[in-house]
Amino acid sequence: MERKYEEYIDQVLSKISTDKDTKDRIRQSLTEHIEVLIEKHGSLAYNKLDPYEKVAREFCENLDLKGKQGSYPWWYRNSFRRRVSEKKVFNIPLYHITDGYNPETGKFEVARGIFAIGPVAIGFFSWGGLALGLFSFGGFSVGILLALGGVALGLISALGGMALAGLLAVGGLAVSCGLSIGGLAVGHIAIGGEVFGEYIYNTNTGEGNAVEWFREYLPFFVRFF
Amino acid sequence: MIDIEIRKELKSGVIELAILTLLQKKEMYGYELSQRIFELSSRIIEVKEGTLYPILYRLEEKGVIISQWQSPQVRGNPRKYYRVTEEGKQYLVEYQKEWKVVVEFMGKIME
Repeated sequence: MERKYEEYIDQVLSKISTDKDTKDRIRQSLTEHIEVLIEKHGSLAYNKLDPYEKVAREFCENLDLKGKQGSYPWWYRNSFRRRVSEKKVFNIPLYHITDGYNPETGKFEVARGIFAIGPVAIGFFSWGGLALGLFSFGGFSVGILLALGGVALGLISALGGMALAGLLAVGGLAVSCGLSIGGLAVGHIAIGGEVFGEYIYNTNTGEGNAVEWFREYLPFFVRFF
Repeated sequence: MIDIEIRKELKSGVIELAILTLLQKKEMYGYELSQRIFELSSRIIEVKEGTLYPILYRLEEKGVIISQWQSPQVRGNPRKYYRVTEEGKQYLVEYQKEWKVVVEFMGKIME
């Protein structure tokens, strides 16, 4: 048997806390099981195996054993790693929080909920490394109403290191079809250090015609120039 | 495959009886048992190794089945074949009686 299969069995057994005889018995069963899989499926046999955590958990449940969690520090074991609300709104969980790992499938998991938090999160309010939603907050965020993040793409508004939006963009680099405010601002109305647009205001020189636009349409804001 | 998932609580009670009934007809090895159950259940009940082997261990400890390593006739590695013992046959008769009572009872309730 190839090394990867032996390692797989070792990984299963590493998650089961029991005596040596039972472990030997499980090893023997898994070895036989995998050998049959190899005979029937050849090199594809490995793909037929469930994630080792799942197999170990099933053995533990069916043998009334405790699973081993010792490989994780206590603070990680008890941390807020995965929560899915049972309450649903429009058939979507009210909240879904994940660290990206689904222990039931052993696969990567995207957070999907009204409130979604995870490495990849999709929701009305989403927060994550990659966040997509009505209101999204994250390293890379895409939002319909508001996107906030390192790179923020918003249909209406975006705030971030690099912000691209339909109506309002605020950031180091701000690009929008409406108002852009930032170090480098590009927009219909552009306010910032370097500005490109129909109406501009350069904060370094204090020059530009954007004040006229504000005086005509939003006079309240003129005081800020 | 039919898009239905049998809940775990319901499944666990059925599998042991299914295994014993199948083994009474023919001796089989673990993987063969899981595949046979999968096929006979119209590919609904999938008995994974983490469920199958603990049941086989328990049945063997109870003395209702025994196992023996055998080499396949054609090719391949030796496999552990299980078969029902004389004590197991009696156990199965009782088990099947209980099952019929449960099925009859549930049938009445669900009418």
